Amino acid sequence: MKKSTIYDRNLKLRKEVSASSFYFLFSEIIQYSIRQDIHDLEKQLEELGIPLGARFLELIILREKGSKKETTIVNMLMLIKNNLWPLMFNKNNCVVEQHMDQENIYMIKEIEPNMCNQFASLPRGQCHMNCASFIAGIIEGLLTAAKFPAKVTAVFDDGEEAKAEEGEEKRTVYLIKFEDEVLVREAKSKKF
Amino acid sequence: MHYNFFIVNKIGLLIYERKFPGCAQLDSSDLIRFGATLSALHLLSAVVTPSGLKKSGLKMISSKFFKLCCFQSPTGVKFCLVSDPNTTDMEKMCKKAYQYYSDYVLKNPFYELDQQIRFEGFDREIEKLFAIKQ
Repeated sequence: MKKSTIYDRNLKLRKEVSASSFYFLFSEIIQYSIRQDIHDLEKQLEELGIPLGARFLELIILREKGSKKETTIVNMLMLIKNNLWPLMFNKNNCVVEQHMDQENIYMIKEIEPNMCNQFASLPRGQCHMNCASFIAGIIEGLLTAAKFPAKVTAVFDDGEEAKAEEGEEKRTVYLIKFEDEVLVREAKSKKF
Repeated sequence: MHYNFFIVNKIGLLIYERKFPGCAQLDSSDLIRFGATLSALHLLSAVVTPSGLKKSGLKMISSKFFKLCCFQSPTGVKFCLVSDPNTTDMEKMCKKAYQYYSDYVLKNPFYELDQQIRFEGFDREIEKLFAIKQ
């Protein structure tokens, strides 16, 4: 009898991963990165995320987009909001905004603190590194693989700083800065 | 009403201490002594347990003036709550604190095992659990 292989499984199969095991694994990753170089932690996490983002793009396009790729910035950001976020966190809890002054900067604000920062708090008074750089890396990888080269950074939401002192957890904002070529291409394509 | 909450690690060092409002502050050498005494008492009470009973170690000390509840995790970390004699459900609260310890401390990549606990997230949950007003 033929043994069933990984290729026979449904592509749309979606299994949930235990949050605890994710926390322990992620915690080990961070400890490993700290041993490498503590000052470079955010960059190392970003680099880990980038190849993941490229894979996520393939997966989303095959599973949910009927093998069609997105061509505009807005649609690409919607793909992140509507497909990537539910795929990673199982909920759609983020808001996409454009920067008020610069048109090549977009922001993804999360509504509640993400998994990376939930338990990773530094001792009081120490500098604040954001472990969500890992997610920023995933977004960057996804955008770059979709030929929307961009630089993504994760920062803590300044507006929430006051709230954080009252005992709320800090939220993260992902700043997406697209390269000029993306905007030029976008402007050209609008003419047609 | 609660007086004090302590976490003592498996070698008898105090790694977390929380004083409740209206209670006298112990100085640092008292705190160290407390941690050592508590783990010694815990071991001794297991040794003097009559045969045939479960050797669970120190669980509760009650007196006219206070009640001390001690809960030990399987890895030897002790959660100890000191309250006034009329308090109930103390063990439940210690177990809840253990749950927060395993979440906010053990899953925190910046924590080194058996060291002092100084994390915002954990402090916040402990404050919520014992309803401490800032």
